[in-house]
Amino acid sequence: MPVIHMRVNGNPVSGEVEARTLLVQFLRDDLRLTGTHVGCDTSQCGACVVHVDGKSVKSCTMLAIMADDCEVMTIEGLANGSELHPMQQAFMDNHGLQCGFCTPGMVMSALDIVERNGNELDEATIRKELTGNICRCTGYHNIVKAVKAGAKAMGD
Amino acid sequence: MAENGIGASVRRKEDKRYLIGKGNYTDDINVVGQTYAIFVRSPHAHATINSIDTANAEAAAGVVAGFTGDELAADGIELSLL
Repeated sequence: MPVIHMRVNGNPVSGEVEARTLLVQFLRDDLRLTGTHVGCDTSQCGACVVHVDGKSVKSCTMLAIMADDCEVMTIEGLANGSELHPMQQAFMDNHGLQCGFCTPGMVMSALDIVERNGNELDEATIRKELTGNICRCTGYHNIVKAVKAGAKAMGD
Repeated sequence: MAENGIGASVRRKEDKRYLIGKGNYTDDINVVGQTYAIFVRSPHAHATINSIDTANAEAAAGVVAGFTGDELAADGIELSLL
């Protein structure tokens, strides 16, 4: 079986996985990083979004072996000890989550939105950029507010 | 806005663990020795169950046990058709 090496949240990790193992399975089952979720099995919901080499990726739609030698960041890598990342804090302050299942994917996508669009985001941009993330609870209203506030806070 | 009482903003307490990826949803649970339940459903929309033969299933590799409705009833677990 292939042996893969990567850095996850700054830590070097390795594992022996079947070639068909998805990155999300490797993260959840082998590394026990269960913050990244499987929500749909159809690549639609975005609950599995992580960053691979700085770009947001649906980890259910890539193989673990494709992340060999890569830098992977998951939701678990955001907070600095007990201090939340500004985007996480913005979700908390703006009631951007209810059941929380989509939240890791939303936050990881939000960071990528900021990376590509800057800190002053308008609602239309946020809504368009979050097309790949589904939420069943909130109606997106407060998620949009949270992303906007988090983007601004990241620029401060 | 009031500090407390009517009109006060009441913050949720559970958000932090969801935000840092420690939500511990059902599929996140992983304990040593855990088993997985598979439900075998009737392939027929409307039929009478004459018998259930679990022998092959229980003999399969990795199978811990197989249970039918009779065994649940024998243990006092009531199943009612709603």
